[in-house]
Amino acid sequence: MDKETKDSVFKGLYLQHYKELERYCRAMFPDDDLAKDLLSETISKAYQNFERIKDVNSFKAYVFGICRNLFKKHIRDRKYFENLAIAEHIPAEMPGDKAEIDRLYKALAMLDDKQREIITLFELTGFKLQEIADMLEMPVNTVKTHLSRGKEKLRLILKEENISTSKT
Amino acid sequence: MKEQNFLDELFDKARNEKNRFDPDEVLKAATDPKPSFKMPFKQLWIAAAASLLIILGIVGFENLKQSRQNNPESVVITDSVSNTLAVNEHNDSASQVNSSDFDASMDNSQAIPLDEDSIHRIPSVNSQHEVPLNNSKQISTATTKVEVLSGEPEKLRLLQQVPVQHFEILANRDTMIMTEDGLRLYFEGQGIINKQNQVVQGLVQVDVKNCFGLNQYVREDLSTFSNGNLLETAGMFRIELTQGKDTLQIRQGYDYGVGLNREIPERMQLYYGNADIKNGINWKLDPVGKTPAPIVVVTGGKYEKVTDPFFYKNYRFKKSDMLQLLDSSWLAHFTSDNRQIIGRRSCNGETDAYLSACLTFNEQLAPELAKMEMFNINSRMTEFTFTCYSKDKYAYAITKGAIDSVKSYVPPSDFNYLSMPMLFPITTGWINVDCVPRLEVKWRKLNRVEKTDVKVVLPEALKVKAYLYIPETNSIARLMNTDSRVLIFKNIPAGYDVRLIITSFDKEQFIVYSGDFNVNGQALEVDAFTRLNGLDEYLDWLKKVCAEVDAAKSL
Repeated sequence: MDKETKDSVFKGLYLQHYKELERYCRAMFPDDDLAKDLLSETISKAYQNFERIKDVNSFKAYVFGICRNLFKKHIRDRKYFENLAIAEHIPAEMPGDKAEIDRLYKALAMLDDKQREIITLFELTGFKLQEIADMLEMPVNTVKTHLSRGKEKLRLILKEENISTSKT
Repeated sequence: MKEQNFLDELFDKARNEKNRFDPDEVLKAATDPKPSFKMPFKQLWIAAAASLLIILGIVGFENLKQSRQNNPESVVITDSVSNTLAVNEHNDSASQVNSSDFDASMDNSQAIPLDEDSIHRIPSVNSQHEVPLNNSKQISTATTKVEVLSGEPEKLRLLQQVPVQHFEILANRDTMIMTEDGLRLYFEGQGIINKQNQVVQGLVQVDVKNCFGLNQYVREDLSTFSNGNLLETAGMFRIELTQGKDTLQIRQGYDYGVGLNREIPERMQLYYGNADIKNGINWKLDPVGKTPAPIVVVTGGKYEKVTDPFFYKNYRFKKSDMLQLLDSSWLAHFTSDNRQIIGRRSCNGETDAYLSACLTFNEQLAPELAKMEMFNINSRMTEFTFTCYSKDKYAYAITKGAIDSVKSYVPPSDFNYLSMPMLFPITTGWINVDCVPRLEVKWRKLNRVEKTDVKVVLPEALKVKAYLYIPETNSIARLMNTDSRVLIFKNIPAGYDVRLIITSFDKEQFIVYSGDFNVNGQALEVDAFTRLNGLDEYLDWLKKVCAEVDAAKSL
């Protein structure tokens, strides 16, 4: 594959999955700068090793795999703590959908890693339960449990936030 | 049901939200190796000139690649040649030791959380390209610089240098860099200044070289002399901060630390050096004789038995803030003055053995830490980091009990990292972790000084570089000779077994020698040189020799 073809194919696939990937990065890192860095790093790695993909249909799994590994590396390097610090302060007074979505992402950040990842993959990036189970190497039932418990917790967090917001 | 809908609606909104970042911009940034940042208007002409140079460089490089195909005699030159040259231009001013600069980096009042994501890692310059040495028409920027130098030893120095690791950091944010070989560099935000003493903002280039074995010493032309005395070393490294052409320094009172990647003997101290191609580095001891100190990273949980002294002395944050953090369900806490403490809480929520170990750890550690003379609790790194020193000049102060407590909690693999010594140098440039050799210490105690000049006789007069390496102490002496057949290493401690290494570069051949001797006052006779073709062959030879020395050392 020459460079021009590679660029063109890559860009097409990238744009096709961009939204999901962006949402995943934002859920993993509620700080925009960090999310953008993760996104950028993922795309950079995906582009560098793009020739290794044999089937373009596996692009989504390929790119999410890279993203997950990079995120795990960030956690290992303890980059993540600062992020959670940001999550402590959920913006409460920003009007409109944007604020609500921001609050959702930051509430997601308060969940444990597994629950957050599973909810993000299922609800925000469109992966099916089986695909998530394969990706995380765990039984589907476990994925379901994490999903339902995580959502329950998320509801509670958002509810508490609503109460505290309405009090203030 | 309403709540359920509320959450689903939120997810819907998130799924339908417009892109927060511009996909094209992200793609461009990700596939473009250069970091994107806004450049002041005044510097645009510099950028334009740099771009032109890069284009010329690329064109030159392509030509060179082509010419290599036609010229099998060519040797390999690493990019680090040009890079190191560029750095050397401003090296001396960067690494001058000024005792008034001593700030101990211990008492700064700012505590900003680290942000490793502010690091822009540039690929390390160890990629090699092949350049024909003798074809001046097809020489790129890198080779032009090689040609400018006079004398074969200098050329050899440039050819063999250890690759520089390049990083970019944001000067206004706390940053930690981890080099490929495991050195950890910590820079505090707003902690870098230029020659005009102005605080630097924006991107700063950090160049790092780590030399801790014979191979790197020879390739970097290093020696371990301090005022005529040969030192024992645990390794040398060079850190350079630049922004454009400006060499930068660490701001007084701001943290700048280097975490080593290996254990070192406790007696080691910090030395600083100015690179001097001709005479080698004359290492100067840190003004207060600083010793690499261990850092205990405490990953505490709910702290139930906090004793007063634990937070009593010299803490950076209020006791209430620290306690609040420990009791908080979050990993970070904002203090009343809006600073951030980052910590890691592990006990709560854990069960059984893990919880028990965690609590035991806390219980054991508190009294141990309370006994220590701590004047600095540094919590700006990702976990609570207690820097423990004794009163007498930063000697080791961590007690055995505290180490055992940490060990009982932290997995052994992590503990190795945690126990790695940390340095707080006062300057950038060449830094050495050295001490006076044990034998010499013994002599001094006995009031004897047994040193001798070591004469080396060569089979022919050549411009050579000669190294005398003492494996036992990891010490190295270096000589650059003119045209004489006799070299003299002065002031070498007697009685040690040494490895003599001689290198030279003549036209396209590397002329080398390696042999073992004992320093006993007799001349070291070099019977014959070996000639090697090409840099690769030379580097292989050097690697083999160093492996031999290492193997003998381990026996």
